[in-house]
Amino acid sequence: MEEAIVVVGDYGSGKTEFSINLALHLSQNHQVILADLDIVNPYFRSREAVKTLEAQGVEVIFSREWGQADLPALSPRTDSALREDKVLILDVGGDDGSIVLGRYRKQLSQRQAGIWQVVNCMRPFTADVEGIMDTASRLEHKSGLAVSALVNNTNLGRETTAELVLEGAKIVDAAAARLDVPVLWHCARPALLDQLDARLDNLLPMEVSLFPADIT
Amino acid sequence: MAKQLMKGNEAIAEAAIKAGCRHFFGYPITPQNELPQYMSRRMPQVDGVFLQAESEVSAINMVYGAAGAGARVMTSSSSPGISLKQEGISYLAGSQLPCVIVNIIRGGPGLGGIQPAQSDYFQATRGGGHGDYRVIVYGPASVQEMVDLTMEAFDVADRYRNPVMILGDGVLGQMMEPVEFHYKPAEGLPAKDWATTGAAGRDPNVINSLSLVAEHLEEHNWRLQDKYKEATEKEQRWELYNCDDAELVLVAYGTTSRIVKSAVNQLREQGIKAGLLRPISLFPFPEKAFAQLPSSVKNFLAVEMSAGQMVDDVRLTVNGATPVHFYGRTAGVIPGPAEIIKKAKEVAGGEK
Repeated sequence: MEEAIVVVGDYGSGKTEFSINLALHLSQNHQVILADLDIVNPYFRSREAVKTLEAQGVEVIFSREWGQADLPALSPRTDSALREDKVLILDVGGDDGSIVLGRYRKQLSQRQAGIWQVVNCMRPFTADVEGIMDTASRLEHKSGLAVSALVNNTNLGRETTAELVLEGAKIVDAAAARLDVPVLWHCARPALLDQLDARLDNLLPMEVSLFPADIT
Repeated sequence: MAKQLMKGNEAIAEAAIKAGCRHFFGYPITPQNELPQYMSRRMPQVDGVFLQAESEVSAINMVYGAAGAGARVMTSSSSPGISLKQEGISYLAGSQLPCVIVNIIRGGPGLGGIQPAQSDYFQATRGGGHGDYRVIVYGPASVQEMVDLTMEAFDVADRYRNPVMILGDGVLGQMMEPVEFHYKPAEGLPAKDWATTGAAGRDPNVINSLSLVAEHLEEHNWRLQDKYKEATEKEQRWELYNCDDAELVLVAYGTTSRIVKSAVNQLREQGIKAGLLRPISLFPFPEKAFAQLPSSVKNFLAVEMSAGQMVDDVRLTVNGATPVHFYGRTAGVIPGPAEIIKKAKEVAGGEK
């Protein structure tokens, strides 16, 4: 059975951009389903990249009827997707949003599932090892699931440099060692990949950005 | 301090803390929830007070109490919640109490929607509640500007003893940009010798907006008007972009100004002499900016995420000297550069 990947993290750590880009990356060799479980924040959710994802054969699950409503609406499709032999990425809302995982804990325990914590070291509460570990324990407390891997998504938006990604990698590696979990991905915009290729393994190209393109 | 990547809502909260705000009273509403959420996490770390009130009406009256006691205090909400707070804002202005109020606008009227809008401009810049009063209003256009203007808002509130509003929209509240915090307290702020801090050794201070003798209340009103006149003289803020030789000046604030900037760049590439006048202070409206424009300007085009509100201030300022046009999307729909360019070309072509 393919893995279920539960993407968790603090608010604004980049869970959604990571989930979208991971889905696109994995869709090259796998059948992928991406379920948007963000019940907290109605802006910048993975459902906004539906067209791009569907063009690559990724199924996107979200509450289509109530997508713009300020309601914690979940699609019943997630329940059946949990029983299918496909890569299933669950994009979970930030911090308190991980409470939603209680709803799926039983099903997740019945299949192979990774709980991946996305970390951006340029964010207020996860700038150092202690902050990352504190966030991990908050997430574990709220979701009832143990973090099994970290993802380094250190960035400053349009001002991100390769050095910044590398500095983040050091901090995230140190936190992962303390938590005794692996760092599975280092995320970077396509323009930075050449500079990072020789220095980091497991680079994930972040092709899709949710920052509004019309804004100068 | 190094840069951080922050959402507009969080950045306002941290800026307030950096500016010495230790009291926050609010009630949740989308799309500003990250602001109280952030405050609830940070205030205990700095020995401050975060309190989720039972309603917006309660929250604004807690602001009244804390401001009356001389504290730097903030509340935040979104459109329907700000409407509920209007009675309290009028009392704050009447009692000359400084505070900072954040409105991250969503589509209206009524309960409306949760997508971004600028349709509370009238409410913000005309006072909003009852009586002859004004609130000083800033319309930031980036997350960094949300930081800088929030810090300044506390100083300006103290200087004028008046509520100051940060007027954002859902996009600004939610989008993430790099920010840094540099707060230098303003010099020469008046001492808060009017605050109710305990009357030991002095006459009691009374904070009240009730005045039953008409002549006394009128005198009080003229004092308030003098403050608004002084603010109109001293606090106008704006940005001019590509206006030096402009024939068409687009006027926009907040998120819309960022989209209009993209449109202006594309219009320039197509040989149309377009510029952007971006009001940063919305009350006072930056009339002085219009006086700086070159005589080449043939048309103004106001662009807003509303059915047309700021455009009234543009018309009042231009006073018939130059045609003023309008383009807007409302109720939570965000205009794109293509539709703005189309309208701009219609306006520019109409001159030929």
